[in-house]
Amino acid sequence: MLREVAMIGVGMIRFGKYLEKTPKDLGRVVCWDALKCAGINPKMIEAGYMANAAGGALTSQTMVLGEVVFREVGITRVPIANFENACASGSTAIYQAWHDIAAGYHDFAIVAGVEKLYCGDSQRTMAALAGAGDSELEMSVGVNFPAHWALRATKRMELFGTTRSHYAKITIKNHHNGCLNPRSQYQKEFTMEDVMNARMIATPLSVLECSPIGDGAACVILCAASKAHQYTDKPVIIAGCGMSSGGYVETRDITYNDIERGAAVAAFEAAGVGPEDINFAEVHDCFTIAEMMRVEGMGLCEVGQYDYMLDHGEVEIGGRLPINPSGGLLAKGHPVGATGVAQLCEIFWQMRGEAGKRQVKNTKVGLAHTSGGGIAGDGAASVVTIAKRGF
Amino acid sequence: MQLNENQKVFKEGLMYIPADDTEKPHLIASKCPKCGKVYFPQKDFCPTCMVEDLPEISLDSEAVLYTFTIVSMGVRGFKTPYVLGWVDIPKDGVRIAAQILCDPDTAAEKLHSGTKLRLDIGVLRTMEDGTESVGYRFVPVED
Repeated sequence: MLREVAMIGVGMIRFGKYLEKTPKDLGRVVCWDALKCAGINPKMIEAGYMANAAGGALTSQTMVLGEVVFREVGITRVPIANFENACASGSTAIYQAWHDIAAGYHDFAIVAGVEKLYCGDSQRTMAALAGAGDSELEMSVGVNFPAHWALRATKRMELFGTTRSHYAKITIKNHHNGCLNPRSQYQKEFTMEDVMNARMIATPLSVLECSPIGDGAACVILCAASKAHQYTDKPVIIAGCGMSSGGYVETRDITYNDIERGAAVAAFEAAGVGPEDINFAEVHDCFTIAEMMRVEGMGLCEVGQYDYMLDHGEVEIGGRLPINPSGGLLAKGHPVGATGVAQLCEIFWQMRGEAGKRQVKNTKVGLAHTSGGGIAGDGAASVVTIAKRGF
Repeated sequence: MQLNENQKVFKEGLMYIPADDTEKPHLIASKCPKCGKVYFPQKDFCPTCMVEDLPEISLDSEAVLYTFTIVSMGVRGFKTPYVLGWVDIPKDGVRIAAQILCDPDTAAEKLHSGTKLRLDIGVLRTMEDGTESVGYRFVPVED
């Protein structure tokens, strides 16, 4: 029987451009903040999980980032592992920590995600990110991540009658939410006209429909739920976590993401809830079309229904199912390895009623989703985490 | 097509490149004798059936467009804008990502899902060291 796992503290820096900082600089700040938030002595931490995706390509700090950062905050002589799984690196680390605590191996663990994508050469950054695809085949014929999603966006318009304005509504919504989040990289409203007239990256996606390059770090402290109340009156329970790789069926309909369904079904099963129980979600909107396909892929609505939900304000902060109240990747930013951990920070604040101007009303059950990589037009790694209030 | 000393295929074993126009190029795949699944690029085993030494086949020449995009910010070394698509080989049940040789300014009107395509071999991009990367791409077939 798996034990319940709780989040008792979080830390996150505002995502952005930190050219003069090292991964260690960014990591130590969020880890210290999370430990303080939990009110726990670092000596209590029994295991460390560090996520980072592009450090090997863009920084000199490779291989032992977790050991380097956790040592800074006094976490020593414990098992520490480093996780690299494209945009799902952070949530993969969460998944593993959740597993280890739920299975009874540890009572207290620290999970952090750190990423430095700015290196002064945007072409180098783009080349490093392209490593999340099949570099031997698809990159060689001209597929990059914007194109990977643009190909799906074109097909969706053909099959469902989705319009460019539907995609644009996701940009407008998430940037509006980002304006309410002090930790969001971008804090600027955009209009329909702005999105329509923005520079095209890969038709039908403009630059405002692609998540930005950014640096960032986030951290959560997890523990066995039975110990949580020693540290906080408001623990947030990680009720279930699910993970899947792609199916890569070549002739499938690329407007439906079955990889997300696989991860979601596993998470729902572990959490003992269904899609209808979810009150709000942080969803991996690396591109506008991605938010749409992933909400549908997880079964949070019917396939093809997201256009309607956008048209009727259902996914806004005051709507029936708020999606990305934090601003999502599009506005809050997407420092790859930190993204999945930062989503859990948002879930934590939302459930405790600490989300300020972007506070969602009903936050009893929340969901975080990240997906990483792209292979053969499919996702590579998808992780879904479901949280409930522990108070 | 005769490759010059500055040109290199991006990966060996993917395509047959005829020396002149008397022959047509084709893509090289393998087919599992047990389940019939076609693998492109070729594979030396079928993980479904656990059969080894799969026979080599040529992919069917009939190709149709599944979806496409006009890329303005592309992979390094590609001349932008370029048209990119997922291309179906219906007979073999294979879907391939490839450049579509088509004027980017008129592609949105000209291309649609189901557009018939033929295989072409040519230079895809210029690498950082100046060598030209040669590979497969598709050209719309006028009805």
